[in-house]
Amino acid sequence: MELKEKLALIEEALDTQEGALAPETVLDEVESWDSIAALSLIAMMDDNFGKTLSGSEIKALKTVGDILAHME
Amino acid sequence: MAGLDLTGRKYLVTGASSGIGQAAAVLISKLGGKVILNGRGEERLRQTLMQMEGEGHQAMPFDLTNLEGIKGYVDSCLNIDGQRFDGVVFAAGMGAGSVLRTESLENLQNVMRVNFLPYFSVLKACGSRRVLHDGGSIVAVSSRAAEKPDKAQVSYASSKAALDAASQVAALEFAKRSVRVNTVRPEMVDTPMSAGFFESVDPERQREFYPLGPLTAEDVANTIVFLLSDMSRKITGQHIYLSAGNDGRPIDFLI
Repeated sequence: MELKEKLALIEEALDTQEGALAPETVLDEVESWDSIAALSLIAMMDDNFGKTLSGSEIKALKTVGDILAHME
Repeated sequence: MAGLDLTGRKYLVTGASSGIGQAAAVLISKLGGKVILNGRGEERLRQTLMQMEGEGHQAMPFDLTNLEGIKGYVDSCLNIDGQRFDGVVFAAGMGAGSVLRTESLENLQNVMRVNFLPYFSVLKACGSRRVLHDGGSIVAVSSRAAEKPDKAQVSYASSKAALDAASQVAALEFAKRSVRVNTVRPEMVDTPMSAGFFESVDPERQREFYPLGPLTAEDVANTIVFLLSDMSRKITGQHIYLSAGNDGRPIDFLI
């Protein structure tokens, strides 16, 4: 999957505008980054990559790049 | 204690393969009751059987999502020893779900089909004294979520609220026969269903949510057995909230 597609999936999970996120974007600076976004992210990872993100893995996410790293 | 003695009584326990159902089945056996164990797999029911005391218990696997087959299944549970039931514990359930934006219709229907619809069929069967003795007791495992739902619980909480409402209806309709229907609403219980919480939240933080310590399956089984027993014989249509000291705050532990 291409970077562009992955970013689009993250943008949808975090409910941001299209094109709003880049790998270096810091999550704490994203207005919509909250527990709802985290839960959407978990569902997205599960549906698209068959991965279950744990609570501690969520806590360890600091940037969009960290999310991308899970999207193999 | 005489009030908790279940000697000679027969119970159906669903969801008996693990968690709360398993703990309830084991405790009933320790108090002298006989249990028909329901779950989907015979092997896991046998694991529960191995922990039980006394004799006469039967593992009778059946997938309760086969709603049309429940009546026939209940009949086979009666015929296996010719004895009617004195009580039922409805503990089968699933907790998976997501926030509304990502929750699927499929999951909602699945959760309803596992958590609530079989309960309707079980209650229906219990409406007859050919199935459940007068004076019998039905207990369903609901959840805090039935009254205080959290985010990502649209399917789960709705299914538990449905359980509670159906229980109140049954309580009214069965009161004439002295058949009681109640539910327990536990906070999160340390069972496989809640592994996500207990594995990722450190004990100190857990204590903030649950000052009395997290609920074990045995804690919930204790209340279930109280509701099955003569000690609760004037209680019906109620939902016992097992709070573990929670002050009402949401169980929000992800961020």
